Amino acid sequence: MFKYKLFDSIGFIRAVFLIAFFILIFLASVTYRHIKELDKINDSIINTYEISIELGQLTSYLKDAETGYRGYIITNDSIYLEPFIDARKNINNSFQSLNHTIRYDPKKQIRLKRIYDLVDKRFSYFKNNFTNKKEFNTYFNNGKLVMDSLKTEVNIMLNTENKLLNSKGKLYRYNNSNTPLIIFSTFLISILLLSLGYLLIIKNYKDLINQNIRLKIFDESSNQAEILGKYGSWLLNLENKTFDYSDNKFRLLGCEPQSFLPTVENLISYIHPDDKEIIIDAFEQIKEKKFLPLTYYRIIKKDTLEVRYFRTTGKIFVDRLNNQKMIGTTQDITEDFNKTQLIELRNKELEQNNKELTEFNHVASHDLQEPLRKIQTFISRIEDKEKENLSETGQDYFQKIQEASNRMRVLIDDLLQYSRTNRSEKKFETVDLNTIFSNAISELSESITEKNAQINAEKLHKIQGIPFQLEQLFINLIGNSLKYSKTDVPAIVTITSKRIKASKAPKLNEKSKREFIKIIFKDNGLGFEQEYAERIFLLFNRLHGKKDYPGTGVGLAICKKIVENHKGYIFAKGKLNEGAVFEVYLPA
Amino acid sequence: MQKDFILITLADDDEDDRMFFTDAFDELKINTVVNTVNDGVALMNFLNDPESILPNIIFLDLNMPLKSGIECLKEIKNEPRFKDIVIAIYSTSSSEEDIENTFVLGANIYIKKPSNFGKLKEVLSEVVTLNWQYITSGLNKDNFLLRM
Repeated sequence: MFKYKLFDSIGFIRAVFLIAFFILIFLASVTYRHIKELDKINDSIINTYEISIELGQLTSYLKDAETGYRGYIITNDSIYLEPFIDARKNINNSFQSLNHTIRYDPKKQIRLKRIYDLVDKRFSYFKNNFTNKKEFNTYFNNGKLVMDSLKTEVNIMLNTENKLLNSKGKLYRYNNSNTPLIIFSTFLISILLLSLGYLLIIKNYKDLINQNIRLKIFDESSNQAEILGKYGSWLLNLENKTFDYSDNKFRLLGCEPQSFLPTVENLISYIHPDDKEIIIDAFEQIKEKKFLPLTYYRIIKKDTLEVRYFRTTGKIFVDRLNNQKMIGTTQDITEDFNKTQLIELRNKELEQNNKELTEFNHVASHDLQEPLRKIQTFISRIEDKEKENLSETGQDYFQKIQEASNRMRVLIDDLLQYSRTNRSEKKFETVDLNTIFSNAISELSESITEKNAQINAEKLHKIQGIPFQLEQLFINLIGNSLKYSKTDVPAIVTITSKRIKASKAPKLNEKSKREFIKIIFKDNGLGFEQEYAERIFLLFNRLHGKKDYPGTGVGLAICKKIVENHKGYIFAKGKLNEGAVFEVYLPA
Repeated sequence: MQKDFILITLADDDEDDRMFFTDAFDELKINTVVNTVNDGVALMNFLNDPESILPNIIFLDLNMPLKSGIECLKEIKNEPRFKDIVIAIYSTSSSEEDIENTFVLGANIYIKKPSNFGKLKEVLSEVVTLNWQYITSGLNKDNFLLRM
């Protein structure tokens, strides 16, 4: 937008100056012609003036000659002849100069010749000795006649000159009466145009200065961004293979900003020997591809000789001089690279650990089952066939072996279940918690009857989950309440569910806007001290002696695992001898 | 040949288990002829021998050297000659994976080896006396795993 505006005004300024230039040329030529004309007129005025003066002088010389002559005649003193002789000389000079003045005008030359002839004739009537009065009179009269016609000729010539001068002046005035106005107005117009051009130039100049300031600011901020982001930009001239680096590009290479003229060759000298091929190939492909795809390579820093990981990309464009250039960015990604490597390493370790753990679980639970099963089978065989043959102590020991092996069986079964909770496929589907509840009840029916317990559930929600795991969760939690119920009062377990926003449940410490289904299992059993509320979910953690309450400490750990598999939360609240409350939050 | 007897073959690499198995049938007093093999390869050799009389029921352990129970199951189900033999999986494991796999491959019933001799007798007696012709027609995954 801005660019176009600037271009427009440049065109406009160019037009203004062009017009002003032509006007000035026109003005100059008009003035020149005018001066030339004035010069001509001046010449002819001078010419006329010279002719008039010379003619006047000629006449006065003639008069001098006549006066001298008359004096001589009267006094006969030869002293009076001197002016007469001088006059003749002067007249000749005058003629010569007149002849010179009018040498280009044949008409005037003819007239001058006539005047000259008349002068000659006049002089022929000057005679020293007259023989008689009659002769004197004749000469004198003829002389006067010649003089008169001479005067007439001179006057005619003078008049002609004056007329010529007048007519030339008139013509000039007629032709050039408008010239001053034209010159003045065109001059004004060109001044106006030049002023307009000047104003525009000043305006553009100011705009340019402002743009320049803005550019400098952006340049500085991009400099800072480059330092923070550990990247540098470059401009590659594809014709001569030279670069233009930003300051930070130099720093990334471990050099002082603008400390050398970057070229493709010296760029390659910084690159790690194993990666030089990558860059050479990339440059070879630039011209056909028209861009530089993301390229990863290593460099060796000049100052610290450190190996750094770089990532670069670029795009070709053609500049105003039709040179192919590429503008690009290079980033130092060493930190990211190291982090990724570390994460990858950690991941591998974790995977390995997980695998070993699973393997161990499998061995511990599965492979241990086999010898145990045999022990138990043999125990049952002894019990059936050989028990009577044992002494009382023997039978007692045998009883202990049986109990220990039974306990081991429970432990292994629980462990197996726990590891299965970890390993099994996590296929989520819509689960109706009401169905889950009734399945759990039927699974626990035996111990419910035994404990004379009352299990109540209001209408429960539907959620997305793994059905058999959720069933296990319900069985374990209800089973837990049954197990730790009071002996003197019938056990009552109440299960409720409600939809709740994460923000309304500060315990979850969740900032998301997710919604949860909160399921509450409340019983009237033995409860526990609140300080154990977290410990009870740990694997093999028990709050009671084995003798009092059978169990392995796996049940609630399984519950926690299941809830975590569903990306939910489980909390326990308890008060000794007043009952326990388990809160389960599962994503809605 | 001996139509009154049920011919039973057990393939299990564990000596103790084979002993429990034969002892159980001895005590059960059902008309059975029990024949045991030590691994999957031996089982297949026995079945493929034209001289052999094919059993009515094969009890198949899954975890055996040389050829596993699963491999045996596949081979048996691929041979039309063996189509009338009832296959009972007889394993220590009761993992979902094993149950699922053997069900899909066409085994008839899945027995988890009990850890009580009395229970073992009950289970074996139950399996042997089932009316298989009736059971196979209504085969489904819910009663595949034998629960006692």
